[in-house]
Amino acid sequence: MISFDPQFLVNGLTTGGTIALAAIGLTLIFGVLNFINFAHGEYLTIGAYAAFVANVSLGLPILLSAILAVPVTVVFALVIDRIVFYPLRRQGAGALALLITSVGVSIVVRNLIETIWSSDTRRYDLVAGEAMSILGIRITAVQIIILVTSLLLMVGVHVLLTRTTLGVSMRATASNQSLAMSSGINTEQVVRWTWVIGAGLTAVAGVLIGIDTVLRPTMGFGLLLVMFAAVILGGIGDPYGAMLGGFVIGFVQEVSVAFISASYKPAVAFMIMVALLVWKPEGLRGGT
Amino acid sequence: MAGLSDISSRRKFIKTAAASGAALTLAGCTGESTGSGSSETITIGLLQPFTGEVGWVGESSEVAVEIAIDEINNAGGINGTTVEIVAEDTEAGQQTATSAIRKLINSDGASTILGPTSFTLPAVMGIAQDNQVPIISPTAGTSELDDVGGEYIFRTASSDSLGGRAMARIAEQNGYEEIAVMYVDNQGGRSFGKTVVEGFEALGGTVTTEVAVTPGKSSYRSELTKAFEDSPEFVSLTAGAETGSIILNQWNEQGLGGVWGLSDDMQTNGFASEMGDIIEGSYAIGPLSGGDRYEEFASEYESRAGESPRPFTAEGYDAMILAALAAEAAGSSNPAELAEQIISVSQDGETVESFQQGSDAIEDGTDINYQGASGPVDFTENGNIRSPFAVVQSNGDSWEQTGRIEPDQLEF
Amino acid sequence: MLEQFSFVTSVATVAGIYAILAIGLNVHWGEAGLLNFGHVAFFAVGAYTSALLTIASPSASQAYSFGFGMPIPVGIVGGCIAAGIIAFLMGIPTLKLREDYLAVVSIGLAEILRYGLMNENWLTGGVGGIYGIERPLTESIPFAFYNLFYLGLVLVALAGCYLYTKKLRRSPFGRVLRSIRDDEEAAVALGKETFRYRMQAFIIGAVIAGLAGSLWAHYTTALTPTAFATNITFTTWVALIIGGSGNPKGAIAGAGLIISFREATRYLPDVYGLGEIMPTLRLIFVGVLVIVTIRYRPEGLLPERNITRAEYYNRLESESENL
Repeated sequence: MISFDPQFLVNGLTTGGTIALAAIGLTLIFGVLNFINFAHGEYLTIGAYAAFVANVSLGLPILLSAILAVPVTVVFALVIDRIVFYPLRRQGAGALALLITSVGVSIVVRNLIETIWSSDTRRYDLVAGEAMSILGIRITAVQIIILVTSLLLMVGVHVLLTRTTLGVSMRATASNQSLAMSSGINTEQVVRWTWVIGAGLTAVAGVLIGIDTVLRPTMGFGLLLVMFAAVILGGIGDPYGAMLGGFVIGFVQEVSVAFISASYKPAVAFMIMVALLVWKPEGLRGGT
Repeated sequence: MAGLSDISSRRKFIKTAAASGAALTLAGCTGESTGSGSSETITIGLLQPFTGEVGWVGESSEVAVEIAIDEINNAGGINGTTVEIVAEDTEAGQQTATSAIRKLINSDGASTILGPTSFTLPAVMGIAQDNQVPIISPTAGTSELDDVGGEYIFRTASSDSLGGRAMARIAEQNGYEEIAVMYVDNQGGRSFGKTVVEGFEALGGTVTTEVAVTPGKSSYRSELTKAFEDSPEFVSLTAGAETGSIILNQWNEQGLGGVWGLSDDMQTNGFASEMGDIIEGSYAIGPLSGGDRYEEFASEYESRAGESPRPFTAEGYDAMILAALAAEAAGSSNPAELAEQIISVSQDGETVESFQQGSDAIEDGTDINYQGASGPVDFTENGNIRSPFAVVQSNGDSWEQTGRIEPDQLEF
Repeated sequence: MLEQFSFVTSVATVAGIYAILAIGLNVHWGEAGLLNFGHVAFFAVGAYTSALLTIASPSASQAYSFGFGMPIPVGIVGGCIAAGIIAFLMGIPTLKLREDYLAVVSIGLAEILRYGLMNENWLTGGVGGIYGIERPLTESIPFAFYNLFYLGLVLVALAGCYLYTKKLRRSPFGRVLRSIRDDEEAAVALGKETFRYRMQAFIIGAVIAGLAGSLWAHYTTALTPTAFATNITFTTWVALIIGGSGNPKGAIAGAGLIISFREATRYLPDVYGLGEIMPTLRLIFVGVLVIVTIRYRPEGLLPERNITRAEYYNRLESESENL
């Protein structure tokens, strides 16, 4: 047993920020489309590798590459929805058919990426910075960027959901689709925008992770269960819950290293998730 | 990775040959017993991972084994017969390895299996033993295998129980009293890491923390925090090159101090130059290759692969030569008879340093002792080797040998 | 000539074991409508239990502490029982959840189990695992025929599971189970009974998977935790989807197809330099196959008898409405 080191707090918050971003997307998509998308992790991976192509293969600066990664990923998400999920929805296929199909999608995308870029880890063309010491805690410039970006984007999502027509429509559709339709909301448009926002946020998360560490084809898939845990923790369909859930999961995972063997670290998120689903399935914020 | 694409075109050829060979064998159905010497070629099975994080092991060992094969065939082959290899991918997975080795033994009639790694060797050991086909692994270091070999299981790589002690010795020799030990949580990492811990404590030192890390993750900051919490002066790291580079980069970014002792996956000059200043002054251990035999091998390897030899390649070369010499000594390529000669050609006899030399000596009826490119490669009765280790340090660009550790320094 | 067939025999044996796994999963999904994505956990528990029960007492250099040296039939039965117990424990909290939650939780539990296998050295041998597991009747059967014998053993087990699940389907129990699966109102009317029926199905499917695990342990003679990752669950699912869910024959057909496909692609000559990427191409093909199957032929190759595609979609849809 070792003493608690505030360093864990910083590590946890930065890990949590990226998980939170990806989880928002997952929870929005679930709320509006009503299925658990097992391919969600792949948007993270696509975002990261799209930025890689821009940054390393095309030589663009990292900021521009990160920005470009978003529309690329969004297009992918929309295309995948159009050719795979939409036809099933139209046929009246239920959530389970979509879930199983999304498993197939995730296998295809992941392996396509591995076919092209191999399973070796990749890095962006960046200069590695040394950590600064603030109040005795080490934090790198990248980690600060991650935190700031995540928070800014979350504020943006909040503004979107509360102040724009689209956002209101999204929330309405998420809570009651038939009622939303009958009040004249164009649900297909809402669906499309949900993909845009969800996939876009997740793509940013992917680039941030790639900047902070490395890229590998399984980077998104590997985090999928953790994202689920964050979504469930925060209450399915609740974007604010997903934000909270992401930070809590990230934090708990990093801190757990102090108490239990580090090799159990990934299992910690799963244990939280299972415990929650059993005792408090509505999540921390209760009720959706 | 320019060098390895030459390797892959080579592998294409081998695979086509293998596939057509397999197809022919199936069609032919000659009913010959496995590995009998009367077929036109002698087949050696190369069972390694060619895909996944450790895919480089298979690709690089294939080059090394081919160097040996060419040398053997140029000297007239084994007992006058040409030798060829058939390669199969284990994907570092138990199930795949099991079906791959069955194919090599039953469909391809392999006389010896070279490989596989610590991840899959325990799973396929039984199959080889049941079929009485010897396995010589150039990479598997896990200490789980310490007591089980000698009849059909051999390895030209040092057991982790020796390697770990060597690492502990390095720390002790350089005056460090408090160390931390980090290792990846798999067969390769654990056995080495735990041995370092036990060894260092047996030498009277203190291990402040022991941290097992999950490989394949993108961030190890918390693990690093835990490992360095008591400010150890020296940290032993057992990990693959990819995981190692992430850990070392994040260590550097955090400015945590201390000196590293790195395991053999990271002991390539490629790694040293890629990491550059970050690991300047770090230690590593490696097989005591060097001397003319190794230089010859290294330059041949470099001309074929376009890069300097990866870890375990010289061991792979030696494994092949040993198998060939054992077959010569047995006068046949029947795997069971070959297996009986493996220990004897590796030690206790007239020193020979190449296949040609060994083959000639055997013809004269002399007992030989093959000294290899990777070291003396003398097998103990359990199929292990006891070689000295080289101590190397990084100068910011490559690894330089700064010392050596003899086997008897590892008894404590 | 027997040697050439030995390779084919080993592929068939692996396919047979997967077929048993798939039949177990079919009881979960096809009969009871349970979306169990943690199936590999039962497989692993069966394998490790049978191994530990039958292996000799460990020597000092082994990481694990227990070996009971019991005869193999005891091991196999023990594996089945252990898998059943784990299913019971897993089922208590999760079977009351809606289907897609079960999917997520079951993966989580299976992963936690795998981490346990990796870390609890005293029980499982940790990362190094257990090797040297006994094989049945090695003294009585001549070496040349042993693989054929083991294949026979697996096929007998497979036949047994198949006949049992067929009987199950026709029994009153099976009918109630299917009505719970298809019609949530019937389920609600049954109240607490729904849970009981689901739990029974869950345990049965798990016991079958445990049997597959035990057979696997005595076949490969070595176990490591890395062998029990989620891709086994997914392979089993793919086999079920493509072969035909709701149908034990479909489970067998699907398993046979997938495994043969996997092994056959090993032999493809290396045209167009594809050799290096063959493993990923293979997986891409499998993924596409899943997508296409659900889209155009969700009932799979061998559909449940007397069910039309429209009814099948109804089933998938009505279940989702209940979510």
